[in-house]
Amino acid sequence: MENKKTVLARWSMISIAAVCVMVFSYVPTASAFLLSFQTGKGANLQFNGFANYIRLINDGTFWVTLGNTLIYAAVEIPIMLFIALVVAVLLNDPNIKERGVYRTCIFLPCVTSMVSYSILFKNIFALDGIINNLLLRLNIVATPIPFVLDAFWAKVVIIVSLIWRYTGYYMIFYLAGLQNIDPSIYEAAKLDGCNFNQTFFKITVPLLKPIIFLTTIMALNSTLQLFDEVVNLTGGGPGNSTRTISEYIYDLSFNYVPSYGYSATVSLAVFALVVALTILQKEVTREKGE
Amino acid sequence: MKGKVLASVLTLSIAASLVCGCGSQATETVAEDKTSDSTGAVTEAKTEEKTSETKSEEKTSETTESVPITVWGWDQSFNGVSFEEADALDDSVTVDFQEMGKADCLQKIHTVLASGVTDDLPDIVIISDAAAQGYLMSYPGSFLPMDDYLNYNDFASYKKDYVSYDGVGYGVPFDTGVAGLFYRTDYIEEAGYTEDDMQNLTWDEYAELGKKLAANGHMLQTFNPNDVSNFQILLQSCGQWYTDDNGQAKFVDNEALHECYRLFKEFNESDFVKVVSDWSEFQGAINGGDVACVIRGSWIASTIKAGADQSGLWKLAPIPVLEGINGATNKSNQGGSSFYVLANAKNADAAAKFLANTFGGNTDLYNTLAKNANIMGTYLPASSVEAYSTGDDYFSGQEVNKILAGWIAEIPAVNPGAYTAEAQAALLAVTPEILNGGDIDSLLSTAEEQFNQSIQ
Amino acid sequence: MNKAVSYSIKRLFLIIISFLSVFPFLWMVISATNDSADIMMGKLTFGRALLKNIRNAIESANLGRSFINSTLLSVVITILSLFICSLAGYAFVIYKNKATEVLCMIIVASMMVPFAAKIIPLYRMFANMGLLNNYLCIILPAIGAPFLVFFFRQNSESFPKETIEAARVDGCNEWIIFTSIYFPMMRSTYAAAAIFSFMAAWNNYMWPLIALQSESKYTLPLAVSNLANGFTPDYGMVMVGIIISTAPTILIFFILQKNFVEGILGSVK
Repeated sequence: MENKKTVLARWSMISIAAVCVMVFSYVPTASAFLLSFQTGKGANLQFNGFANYIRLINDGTFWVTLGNTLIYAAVEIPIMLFIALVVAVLLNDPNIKERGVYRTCIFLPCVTSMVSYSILFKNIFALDGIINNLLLRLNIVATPIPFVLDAFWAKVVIIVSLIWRYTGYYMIFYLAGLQNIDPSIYEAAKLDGCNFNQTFFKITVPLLKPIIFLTTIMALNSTLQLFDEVVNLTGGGPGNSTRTISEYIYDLSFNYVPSYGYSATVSLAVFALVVALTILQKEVTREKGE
Repeated sequence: MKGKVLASVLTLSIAASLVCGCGSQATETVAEDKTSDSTGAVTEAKTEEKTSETKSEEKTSETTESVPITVWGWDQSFNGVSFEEADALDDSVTVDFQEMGKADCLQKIHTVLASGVTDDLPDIVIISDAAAQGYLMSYPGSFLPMDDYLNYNDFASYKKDYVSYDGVGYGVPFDTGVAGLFYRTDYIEEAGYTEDDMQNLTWDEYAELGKKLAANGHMLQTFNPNDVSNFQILLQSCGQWYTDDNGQAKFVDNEALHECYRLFKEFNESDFVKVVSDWSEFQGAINGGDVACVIRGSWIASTIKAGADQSGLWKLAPIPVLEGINGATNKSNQGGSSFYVLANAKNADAAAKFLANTFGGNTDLYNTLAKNANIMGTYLPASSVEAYSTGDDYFSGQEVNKILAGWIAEIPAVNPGAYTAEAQAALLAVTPEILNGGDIDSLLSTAEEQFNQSIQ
Repeated sequence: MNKAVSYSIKRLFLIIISFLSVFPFLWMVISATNDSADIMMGKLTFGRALLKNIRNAIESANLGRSFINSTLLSVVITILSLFICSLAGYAFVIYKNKATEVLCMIIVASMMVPFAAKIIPLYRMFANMGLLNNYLCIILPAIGAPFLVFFFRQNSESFPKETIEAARVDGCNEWIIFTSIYFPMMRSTYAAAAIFSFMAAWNNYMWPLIALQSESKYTLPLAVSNLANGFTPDYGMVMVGIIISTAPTILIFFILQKNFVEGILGSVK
């Protein structure tokens, strides 16, 4: 079936993006890969075999920060994506008036600046903040909860702030995806007497599968590169309890006496992990789908 | 097709430069015809900028062929102003101060030096003292030795260790972080203390003051259980640091550090501190009148003064002393930064001479800085300049600058080595457990292990 | 009755979520009218410092210049990246085979390498090309955005292939099919992609910080972040800067969201 024309069209359409990604992403990555075999501080680097990889395995901070990051991902992503999907489906219903207003409101968090929302979130979660006042008044707690100073609650604050900030962002993915579904499918479902739940789980979710896969990967990737929220809200503390892997990578390169080789090693470990999780997820969804 | 060829040529050349390591050597030719281009852009940008007063002054001096000097730094109202004043005193150069956030600035210097690229380098960079030796160690040959330009004996002795590496001086010492105890006169009087009582406190007496303050409904100071950066004030006041002279961790066998944690724990369990979790809450507690005392580097004065309604209520005293520790004094330092000339910058020599003439040899400059912007350096001949003797109304007419300048010379010198950030991170990681009553010796040795792990 | 109840529940749910979402943003707007000290204490009512804050912000940073810089850069990046990435995403679905599947994976995977690892080699690369402090060094790495390729690819899965076959039978050239059939039909996908691309370009911080050397070339996030420097930032003025820097993204969203109304078939009919 393949003719010359389609072959030519295929590769010429792909080529610009492919070349850009190769040059501006994989060439630097290759150089990071070379670096991962070098040890030393700053510009004083020499090849040292797998020393950095051995260091990685024995590095307590690496495992702690990786663990924190994975906890964020495991809790935040499912909740956030589910809310985003439900909201998108609701907003896709032409019967809801003022859809545009709701859409804009829900989109706003992801453009609200980190500086302002970290001040506000800290005020809300402060010892004498709104949440503690509420909890005290309702007699749910006897003494105020030190949200950002407690290892468990600090994680909760981070997760809440992430969900708050990015739900609207992922909603757009779903809204756009929903436009590509043939409305006649929904009309048929309505005639068959399907209720909201049935339509949602039997029609919307399966048809949006490629988009759900996309958003999961995007969310996973951005959680593994999580940096600003943690730095601004808790500074990684108390101790290392909210510190993320990308904060650690940043510290290794720019805050400590730089170990560029080791920093590259940690980065590549993150890269390998996300790729592995992506492939895993692709396999899982494929089995279910086919 | 053309695109592909171009791309593969591009890729090849990049790959080649990568193999060559730093790549600076291999690309000198490219760099050469580029510099003219980029300086063109800079001058163009200059003319397009709004002509404020100082700018037009610079322009007239430009006709006498002054050398353009680029500075990367943070805090326009502090470092920026300092360079503006220095620029006004030296006709041979024209300074372009490029402001960035502090963390951004430090990151950018790292990136540029690590890349080995030498075009578009700034002539002068500002580096915080705590990080300086890390830079000097990481990029040999990148910084211009300043021993031939400066007499380091003209500067506070504690600064010299900060800006030197391997016995060579690189930095031009600038601002001080000489530590002080700033206190609210009205609050301590309520607690039955006088100004004299504040002069020679030990840390235990200071905590005692806290209890009395609490009885009167005031808090002694702020407390952030997740921030151990004040430890360096206590350590340096005894001539100690997190590390020894060889850069090895000194956590377990460090009496002063044990004292830090004892006090930290006491404060954590006390009811006389205001718990905060970050800088903005800290600032809010001071300006909101929640606390009676603040112990920090002298730069905190500008933050205190932001609370204009408390003018006349604050005063300055020496910090408490750590009783029972060998060599303990009531003088210390926290923070501060210095200027460094990049050896491969286009106008490195002119920049070094400029710094030596101004920050390293002109007391008038320090007089002007103190008078106009309340900025103080660590240049000793300037410690008696006229402006320092002006009373500060905010501090009830106290001659704050003169007092601080007097302390600067007495700060115990320590060699902080390159690994302060690593040491603080390692300690921070075990701090929650120490506060929860964990065994301090074993936790400190855990932190030592982590520290050793992180400096390899 | 039942329908009315479910309708009210849906609306109530949306109102609650909207309120929670909009509250911090509203607070940001309120803060722009307050003094720094009031902001720190979380004051919730409008103040009278707006004009002072605006004046301070304009005096402290060259916001006008960097606003123009950012707009220019973001528009160019958005247009180019939309074209380049949609083309690739489309081709990955329409001309799918083993090789393109692998290539697609490789392209998508590239976004998973932490940027901190790439920044120094990237800096060296642009220095070698002589492009530092030139807007090309911001534009070039941004136009082949892996996540946009991925986005277009996933959305193209639902694109009806029969339409393409029909067009081929009618003698349409492959490029014509893309420009005159795919492009108009995927309007809502393009709208979403434009929002993502614009946001990414507009908010890009770390790379412009490193790669741009002269202040006259600074982008808005760099200029605004300079407002918050120093030991005692004036948060009132910072809030003004932030509002100026978020307004364009909101505007873009507001304009483009209309495309989320009618589905793919709506545009064909």
